[in-house]
Amino acid sequence: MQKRGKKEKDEVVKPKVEKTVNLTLDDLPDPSELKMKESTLQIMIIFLVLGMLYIVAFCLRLFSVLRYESIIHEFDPHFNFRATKTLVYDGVEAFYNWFDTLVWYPLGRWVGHTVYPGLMLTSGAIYHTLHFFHFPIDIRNVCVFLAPLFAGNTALVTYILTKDCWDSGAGLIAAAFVAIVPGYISRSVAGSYDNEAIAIFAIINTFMGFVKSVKTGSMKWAAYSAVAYCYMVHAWGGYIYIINLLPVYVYGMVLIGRYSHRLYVAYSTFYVLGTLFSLLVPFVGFAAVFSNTHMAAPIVFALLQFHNIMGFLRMHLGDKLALFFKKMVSFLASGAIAIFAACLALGVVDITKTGRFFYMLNPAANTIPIIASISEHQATPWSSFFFDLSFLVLLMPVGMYFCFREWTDGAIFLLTYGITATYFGCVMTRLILVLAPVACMLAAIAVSRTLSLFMRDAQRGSKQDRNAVSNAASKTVAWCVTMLFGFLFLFYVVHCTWITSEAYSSPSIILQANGANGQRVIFDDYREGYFWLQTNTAEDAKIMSWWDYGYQMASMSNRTTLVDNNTWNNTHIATVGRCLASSEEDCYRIMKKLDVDYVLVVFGGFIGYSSDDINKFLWPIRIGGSVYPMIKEKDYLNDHGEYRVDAGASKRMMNSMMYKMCYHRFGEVQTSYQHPTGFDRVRNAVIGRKDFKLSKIQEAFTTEHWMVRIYRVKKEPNRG
Amino acid sequence: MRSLGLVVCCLATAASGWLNSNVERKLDLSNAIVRSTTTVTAFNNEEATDEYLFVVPESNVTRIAKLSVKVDKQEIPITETSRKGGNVYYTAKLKTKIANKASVTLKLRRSMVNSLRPFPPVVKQGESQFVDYNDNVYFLSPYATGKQTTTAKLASGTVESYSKVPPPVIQRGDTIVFGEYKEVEPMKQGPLRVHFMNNKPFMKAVTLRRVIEVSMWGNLAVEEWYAIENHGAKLKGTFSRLDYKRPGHSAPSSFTSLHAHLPQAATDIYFRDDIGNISTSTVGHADRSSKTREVIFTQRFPLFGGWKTRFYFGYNLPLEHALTHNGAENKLTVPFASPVKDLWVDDMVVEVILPEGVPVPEVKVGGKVITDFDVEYRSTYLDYSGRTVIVLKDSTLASPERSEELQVTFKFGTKDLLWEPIYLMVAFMTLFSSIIFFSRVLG
Repeated sequence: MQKRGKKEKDEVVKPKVEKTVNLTLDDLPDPSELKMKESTLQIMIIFLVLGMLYIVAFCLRLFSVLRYESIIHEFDPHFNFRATKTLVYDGVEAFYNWFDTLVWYPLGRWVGHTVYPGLMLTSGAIYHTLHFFHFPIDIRNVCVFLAPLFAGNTALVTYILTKDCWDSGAGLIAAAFVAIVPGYISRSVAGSYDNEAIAIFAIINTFMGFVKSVKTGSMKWAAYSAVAYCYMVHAWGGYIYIINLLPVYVYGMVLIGRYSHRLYVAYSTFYVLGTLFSLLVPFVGFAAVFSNTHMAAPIVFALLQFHNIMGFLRMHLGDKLALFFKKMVSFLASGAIAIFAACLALGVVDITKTGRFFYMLNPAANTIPIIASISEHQATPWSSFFFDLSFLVLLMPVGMYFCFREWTDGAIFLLTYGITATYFGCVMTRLILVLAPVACMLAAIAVSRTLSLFMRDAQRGSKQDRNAVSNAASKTVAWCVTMLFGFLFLFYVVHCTWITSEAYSSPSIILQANGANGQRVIFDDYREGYFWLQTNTAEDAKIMSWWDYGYQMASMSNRTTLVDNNTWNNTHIATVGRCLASSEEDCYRIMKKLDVDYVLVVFGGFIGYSSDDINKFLWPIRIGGSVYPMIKEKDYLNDHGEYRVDAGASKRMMNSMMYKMCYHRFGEVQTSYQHPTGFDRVRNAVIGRKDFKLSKIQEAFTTEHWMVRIYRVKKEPNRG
Repeated sequence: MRSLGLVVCCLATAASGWLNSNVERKLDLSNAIVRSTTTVTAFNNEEATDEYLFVVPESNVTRIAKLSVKVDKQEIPITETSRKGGNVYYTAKLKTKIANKASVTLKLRRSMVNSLRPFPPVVKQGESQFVDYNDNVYFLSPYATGKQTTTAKLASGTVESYSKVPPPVIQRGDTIVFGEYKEVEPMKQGPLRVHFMNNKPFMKAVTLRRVIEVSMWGNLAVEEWYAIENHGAKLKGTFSRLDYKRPGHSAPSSFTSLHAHLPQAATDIYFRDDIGNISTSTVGHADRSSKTREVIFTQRFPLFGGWKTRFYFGYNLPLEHALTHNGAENKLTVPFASPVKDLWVDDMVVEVILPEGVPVPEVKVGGKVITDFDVEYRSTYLDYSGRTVIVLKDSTLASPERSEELQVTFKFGTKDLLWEPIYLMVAFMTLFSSIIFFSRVLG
């Protein structure tokens, strides 16, 4: 059915390609609107397919729940979970006013105003709705299953967006791709309760509304898009991408002469409403108007108004007066730019603020160690494109080619989205997430277009004269291509399932290994340590650790931490880094000043868990060194510049608090029969310093596999 | 005032003419819970009576987990009659009147929690825990006693010290025998003290909340929330995992597991805490004779003295194992106390969630009708007015002493069961017909 629709469309499109900036053409709807109305059967099939995709998208993300349990994963989700609990139990107002005294001791954090609340509000809404109907669901389960649920929603809106940009067939394929694309699954498995889980839905939803509005000129859809954008601003800092992409798209459309009233209505409505809405989020606030990262939107908004007025004047006053007006406005605009430059010079408007946004635009320029230390901020290796997108990587350019061929408003939008997302996907590993949906849509267009072409050939061959040689040949080719795609689809499903199961379904706080007899061995040390802290320390105990564990500790231990994954205060983190890198006496002095009661380190040398604190230790040193010049990285490397823990380690290293806390009494442990005692199974070396005593701190608790070690800071001795 | 009390006391003792011809007291100090069994052969000196008095010091009353008197293996009712001179008097009502010059043998059982005081109160990891036990060396009775002995069974043969007066007091291995003492006058007291090694786990549930939910569709869901503490000698200094794992060098008084006897038919057993599943529990084989199944709940970390943890577990039970019905009259019978062995429960709350619309039921614990319970209404799946919830509170319990059953009799007919399916049918009907309507009218 779709191929016939396509053919008609082609015929319709061609005569009207010479589209110019002409007001009379605006009244015509976008060519892709002119399609055959689907029959009831087609609607049924579409509903059926989408329903099944929803289920598939949901179920594929449940590996971790089935294999482990319904649990919140990794680091940031634990904070989100804790914030959600505050929202649900204390109410929305209390949540917005929530000043968290449990974190960043002694500074605290005004969570209500430094968080994107969309995720929590969504879970809260679901929780309260279900409880209103007396479904006593646990808030943890709402949080765990939120991401898979929104993955299903994403598949639905992807269908609508692709349908609007291309056609219904491509939409279904895109929805199928996006339902199981690993690049998106990586952030949306059950338990991965993070902003991105709902943000991808919000992005596609915003785009969907916007494209619909651009196509129809409907203010209603533009308003819908603005509401979706409002949700996105609530959900994730990545909304910056939307508020820059849409102006780029609109500006590009004007430049290539595809300005239309539909575009004008869509963008003007969207910008005004969207900006008003984004002021609602306390964390964004007036940044939506003043910040330089949002500047593209108002500039394009002004240009669009200008362009529209120009057209209006030209129509009513003739070219000459309009030209005069244009000059006048240009003069005013240059004046405005001069004022802006003056503001910049006086520091009224701040564009020196560096952060992830500029890091993203130019990753090479930034050297803040705290941003560089996060692994998901690294540049994307080539292999992960294939890993996360499978053969979509190959088909995406094909889709782009078809978009260039088609050249409708929707196709241009997809191109803009595709090209920019590819850039960001290359810059940062985690932004593959933004690329994944558009890769699915472009690949779906490629698949849909190619298949409809060849399947038509295949069918025609069977119906018409069989003896024509060319027909037979084209039929064979057509079948080969169809089978090739069939194989690719199969491969895609296998690839996605395998990657989801192997790479993305581990909660990372529970580790699993296979024992000698093939039985499952669970290493639940993190929770053992955290729960010990919760039940066996004083309620106001302050616990120091490297910032990675801050969120988890606040959530699972319910105890005060010094630094956490929010990383808003570099100096505070550097102080902790310095403390861990110092000798015991120096560290004790700092800990006393920071009022620390317990210190927690993660040590993997006993069972061979490689992401432990010794392996991360260079980052505390670097970050500490970036604030405190007495901490120098080279002191912790030996004379050959190597980072070691065995006898060849540097003196400073072996004297550091981190080394002592990780290896305290480890020298007496036999971890392997082939090696002497004190053999570190991560570094594959016998530790260099075995016999030492701790005088200022004492071991309070060590978990079963030594992964979490907690030390109590001794009280200062009484005088006399 | 005191003299008056004394007079009353004397009157009380004089009023009844019993003589304890022989008293054999066995103190079981080998656990954290002190259990004593006293076999009293009582001789009636005066006219026929069916009341026998016995005394417990007032300071001990709050620590008693269980007090019972048996005659010929049959439990007889006891009631608190009066409190005088720091003692509480209980009256045991005998089944039959005992004639003058006749004898009767009573078996008094008493379980006490919190009676072994860790001394020293703190120990290092790897050190043994010593406890101090103080009691009356005589059997406290308002009647004169002919002869009596007290046998204390200790947890170990390692005894630091024990009181040696009045002689004879003899220690043989892990038992110490006090007496035999002859011609002991009424209400006589003398200190008994034993200081010995006891490394048994001192498990205490600070709070316990049991939630029993009846679904008339055939399921009984039980969930129990524990806050556990080791109330033995507190750990001093460091905890070293290395030493803990080292054979023969570990921490003797710490514990990691709780043993519970769940019903044999229990399914879907889970074991969790605030932060998720605890993956270390073992479900044992069913024990045919007692119709139970032993489940070992191993905690996330070992509990040393003073250490605490929290957890909850739950299971489902087919309803026919707990509920009998006669027409609309349903009788739910479940164990009242915790199924965990040798656990002192300080405060317990039992919530029984009955189906929606059930009027306030009749509640019995161990055959006695209870009236001081709270009734709440709680709405869960598809409820409109909320389910009736019975909330019972109790304190100072120890298992397996409290083996009595909780019996709730409530009215719920078959037709009451049909409301919820009807709600669902109406809701779906409305949904589908409105879709049909709108697609016909608007589409």
